[in-house]
Amino acid sequence: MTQQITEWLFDWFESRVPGLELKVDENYIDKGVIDSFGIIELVESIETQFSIRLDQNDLQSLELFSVGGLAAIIARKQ
Amino acid sequence: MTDNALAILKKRFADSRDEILLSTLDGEDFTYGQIYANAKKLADDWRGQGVLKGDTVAFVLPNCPGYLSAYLACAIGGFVANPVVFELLDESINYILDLAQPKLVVRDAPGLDATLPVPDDFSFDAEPDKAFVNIFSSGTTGNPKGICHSFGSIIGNAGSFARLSGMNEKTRLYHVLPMAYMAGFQNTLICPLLAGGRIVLGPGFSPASAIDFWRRPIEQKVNFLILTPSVASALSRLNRDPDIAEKIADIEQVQTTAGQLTSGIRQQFLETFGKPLQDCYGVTELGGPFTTQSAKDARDEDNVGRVIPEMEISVLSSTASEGELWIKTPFVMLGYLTKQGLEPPVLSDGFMATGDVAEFKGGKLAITGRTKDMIIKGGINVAPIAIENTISKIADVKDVAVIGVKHEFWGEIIVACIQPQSMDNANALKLSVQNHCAKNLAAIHRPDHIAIVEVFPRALNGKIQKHVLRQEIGAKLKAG
Repeated sequence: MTQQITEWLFDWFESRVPGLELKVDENYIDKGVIDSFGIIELVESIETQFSIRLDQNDLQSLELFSVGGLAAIIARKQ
Repeated sequence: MTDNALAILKKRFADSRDEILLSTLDGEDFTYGQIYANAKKLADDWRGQGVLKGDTVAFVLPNCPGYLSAYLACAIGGFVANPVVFELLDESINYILDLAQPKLVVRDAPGLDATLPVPDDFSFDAEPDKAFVNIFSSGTTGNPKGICHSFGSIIGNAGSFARLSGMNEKTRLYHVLPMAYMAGFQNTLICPLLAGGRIVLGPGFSPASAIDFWRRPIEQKVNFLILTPSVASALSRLNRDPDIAEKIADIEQVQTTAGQLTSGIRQQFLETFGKPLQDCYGVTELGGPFTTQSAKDARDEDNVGRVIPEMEISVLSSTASEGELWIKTPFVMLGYLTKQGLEPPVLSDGFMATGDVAEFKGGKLAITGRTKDMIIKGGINVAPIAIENTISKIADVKDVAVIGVKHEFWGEIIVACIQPQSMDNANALKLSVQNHCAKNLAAIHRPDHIAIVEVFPRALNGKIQKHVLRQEIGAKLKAG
């Protein structure tokens, strides 16, 4: 299941930045992949795609800033 | 009106000498006296490096606590402050420095020392009608334009706007805007200072800081926020705390500036935080901010509010109700910076055209459109021509037009409309334009969307009709 989530996340980033090389544990904010509007879109896309609601703890967790961390948050919520 | 600027500033430092002016991110507080002492030391250091009264000092710095003392050092020494937006590409920074011809370029953030002795007298060598600051903004030619203001116009406009906004000694303002731009300088540093208030520094707004935005304002008992509409929208959409409205109940005012505030952003912010967004309007050439809404009006009115008393408004009506906005103010700029000296503003009977279309009813101003070909994304002016020049250098591009399209979050986004040499390689060209822009344009100037156009709509003289493109592309983007 986590594998599928990870693939969906990589596809989401690829759709924003074609040709992007992003590692599973890499901080996509530090890498400058998305801006403040991008993170809103990412959060809202995740909530729609996986029918979950990220809470304050999720948004303040360092896990939020890597594909691997995001996949773990989503998997826990499902 | 601007002649007493020196007396106003001196009195403020004398009256508030032992009150806190600045709270830093490191948890340190500095009084008005301490900030003055640090600014005085900086001015003396710069004099020691050969800077004389009337010389320009450029700051190429990110937001930092020392930024305020750098501005004040210029007031103390009679120097001209020339902030440079830190995030610009080297090419633009060099253009600005070449134009400004600074005697000194400050690239290391000035530190603040709480142990410096506070002098008994607060003196300033700045002269009310002489150049005090050059603020750079995107010009219509694509190059940054330097807008030079006198000390009198900055202090006069800031004092008046602070009064209109209801700032006073109890104001605790949270500062998150770039200090090199007018809003990050005038609205958020000089206004609270003149009002005798406190500035609480926050981190520059970013995806990471957006998520944990409210912790520091709550801890620091902030009661006044100034945001851009994009930041306000981000905060509403990322909030997941059901009790947030209660936690920030002590915040009395939330102003938005530097960008178009849509009804959607207003409504979402009010629903999420229980606070109305009070829209402001200003023009850098005319001294900065000069209108704001009251908290009461902001709950149900879509305008930018009342105007400071020194301003005269004229709406040259093109229809029954709205027209181009012209302003007469004692706080107008000295002029645009050019290699040949200052180019004075073009005035007609003392009025200057703003390039905006407005309605003025019942003492309240509403901005309804724009006559200029300028994109305002997230509060930053972006000149289409600079992007068009960059993209037109790609061999496979036959023609290009860059337009702003309305956007819920950014106010406007940048759309590059490309006519390829051949439609056969249109998709490959999109990628190539993206890569070219990533290499040659600062992040804020890169197109958000690239649209392929087979044939541009053109006027009889061959000029691309951007208003038609804006409608067509806007409709396509809205439809997804």
